[in-house]
Amino acid sequence: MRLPRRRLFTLGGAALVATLPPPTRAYPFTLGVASGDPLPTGVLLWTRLAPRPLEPAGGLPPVRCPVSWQVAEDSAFRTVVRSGDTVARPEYGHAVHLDVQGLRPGREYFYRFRSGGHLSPVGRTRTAPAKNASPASMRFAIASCQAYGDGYYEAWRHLAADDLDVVFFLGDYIYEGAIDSAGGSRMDTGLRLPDTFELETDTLDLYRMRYALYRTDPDLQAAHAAVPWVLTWDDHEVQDNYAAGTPRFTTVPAADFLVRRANAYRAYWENQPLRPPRQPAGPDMSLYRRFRFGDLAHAYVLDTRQYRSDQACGDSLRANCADRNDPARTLLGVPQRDWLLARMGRSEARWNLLAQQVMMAECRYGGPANRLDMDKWDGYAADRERILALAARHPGTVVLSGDIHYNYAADLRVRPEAPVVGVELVGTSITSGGDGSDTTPQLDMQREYNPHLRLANGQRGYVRCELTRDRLRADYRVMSRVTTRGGTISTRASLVSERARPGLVTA
Amino acid sequence: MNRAAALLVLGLAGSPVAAGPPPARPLTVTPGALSIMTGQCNGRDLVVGLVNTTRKPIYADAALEADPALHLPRRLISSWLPPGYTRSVPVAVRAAPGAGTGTHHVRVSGGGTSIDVPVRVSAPPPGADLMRLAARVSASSARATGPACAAIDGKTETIWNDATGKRWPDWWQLDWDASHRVSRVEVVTTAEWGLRDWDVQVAVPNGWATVRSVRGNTAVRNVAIFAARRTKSVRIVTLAGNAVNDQSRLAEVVIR
Repeated sequence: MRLPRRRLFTLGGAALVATLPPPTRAYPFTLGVASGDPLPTGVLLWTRLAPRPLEPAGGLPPVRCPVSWQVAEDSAFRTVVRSGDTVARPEYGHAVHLDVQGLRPGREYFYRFRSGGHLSPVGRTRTAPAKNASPASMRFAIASCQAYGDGYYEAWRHLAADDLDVVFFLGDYIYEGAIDSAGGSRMDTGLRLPDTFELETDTLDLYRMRYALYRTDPDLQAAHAAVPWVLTWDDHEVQDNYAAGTPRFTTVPAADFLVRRANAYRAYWENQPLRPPRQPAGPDMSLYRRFRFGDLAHAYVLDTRQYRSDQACGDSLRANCADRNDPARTLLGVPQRDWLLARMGRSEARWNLLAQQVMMAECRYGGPANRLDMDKWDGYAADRERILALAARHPGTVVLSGDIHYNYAADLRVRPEAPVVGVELVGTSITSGGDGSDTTPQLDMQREYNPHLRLANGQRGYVRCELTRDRLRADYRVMSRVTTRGGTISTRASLVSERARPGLVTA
Repeated sequence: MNRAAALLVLGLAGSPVAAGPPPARPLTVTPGALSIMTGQCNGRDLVVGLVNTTRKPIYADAALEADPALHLPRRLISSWLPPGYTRSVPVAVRAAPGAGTGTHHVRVSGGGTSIDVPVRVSAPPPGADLMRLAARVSASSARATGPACAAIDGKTETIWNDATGKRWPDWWQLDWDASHRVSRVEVVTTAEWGLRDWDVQVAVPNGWATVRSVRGNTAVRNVAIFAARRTKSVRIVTLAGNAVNDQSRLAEVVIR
């Protein structure tokens, strides 16, 4: 007996499976499910239909595909609280973005999709606490930099098993370069990637395919399905070290680069759990935004790529680059910087989290030259000083960073001799850079020349954090290896910082 | 207007992109015909132009199809286009060794119409050099800007460049369908950041035999001459470069 679709979704999970109509096409949920940008009463749910994910357009014809969805209070879907129908449209790569509202604050929910007679995997998500709530604690993780060809994503599998409220992903979700048929350092000869993946991403179809490849990974899918993500991007979602409209290689005309940026931003929006208002307009996409976790924490998600001044002194590591101090130079762009300073300035939260891309603490590379990296906040000293001067008046500032494939923990000061005003947690990569090592000669040098660094480590993994009303704890979780399967995870270091007396010390 | 509604499916156009005023047609393909030889590295590029002839930004698609004898690395091109803008995309057209010779076709289409590009496929001539006769060229890794074929394209300005800085060894390999007698492997690397140490190996029944080890090279050009061997594959195992960023850079390989 065929039941109407609405009736189907009122049944329990087992009954739903039993009464599904025969599939009308190949399994379309090969890219998994995701949730993101949690609010007190809503969350964004995402999936993308792709029965043949490594083909252009995911193996689907250019037609709209019906998709049904459910949100329940339990993983068996006995208590469905929201449900409905939508369509996956070819002009968005058959991605689905559902802005589900009417949920209860601070609650766990489960969700799934159905299309063509197939059920998606079940995702778990969590709404943010009520705006006026006073949570005792929250648990989150930061992660970044997952070059597919540099290794396996088993760190994500471990993260999925942690009981987290939210994941902040800080950029470099994809990389734009070539991936060979065996997946680079994965050396997976069964993979047999089409040679399309040897092309550098620059058009919309190639960016879409790159996201599809990444999202076929089961460990990455597990992490998306386990917890809501709040994402921002760094450079490789478009091109290495680009700055606003300036490409990595200046032989490319600005107009051509902006077309590439438009293609990259479009694919980014399509493939992430971001709300429709974030959708790009050509080469522009507004990504900076704020999330509240009651009065415990406000998270400011920043974009340090789209609006920045070009890197000073020709980019890279430089010593004695006076231009980096030019007050006219900006990493955030004036509107975003003013937005951040205004909201931080009147924040009543116990903690202010700055979820962003590049390392904020000064980081001298040591040796006779003792250079600084012009791609990071060291190349944009005026913007950094403004933010840290504000942090000096607001206890509880925590900067969360990625980008450089190393774990660092740093105390933040307005000037080297001034008091500590906040702390920075720099998370290593999920895979970028391959297996890595606990230390390197470069890290040894940095420890010597940067006494404010409390940790420097070169393994892969993520940082797991717990915030209470008065204390931050950060566990640096590191993998023994990533280029072959079976790596193990351990906690390399645990550090804490008191809100009233900022400064990282061993837990 | 919803931006999605601006998605255009391109119609037929046949004229090549020319200098001067923007073309009136939304799709171009150049050249209008190709001649290639079989072999992974013996293909040539078609350049597909997506043109926005309107006064509004659009998203445009072009679909590509090819006869079975031909291989294209992509079957779809999509891009955002500002008004009046042309996005030119090179697409390599190749024919595998043993593919049928004769004239085959590539079609670039949208909106129910298509541009047909005849592609004349021939086998390498009997006197072709060993690089032209290669059935397969591969590498441990490659950058998008430095594919394995760049090492046998006869141009020293294009290079094979591995994708794993500071990680060694890397390898670059050429295979033939039939065995050939080889006694000389010339390596051209780059003047800056060139290769320093490498082994030249030939395939033998149980694996690989090293026929020459080069160490401490600082020259752009290095010729390894060894006792003649019959083999179906030559491999260059790269061990070190002359630069702090340590990547493998092969501008040309000439095997005789």
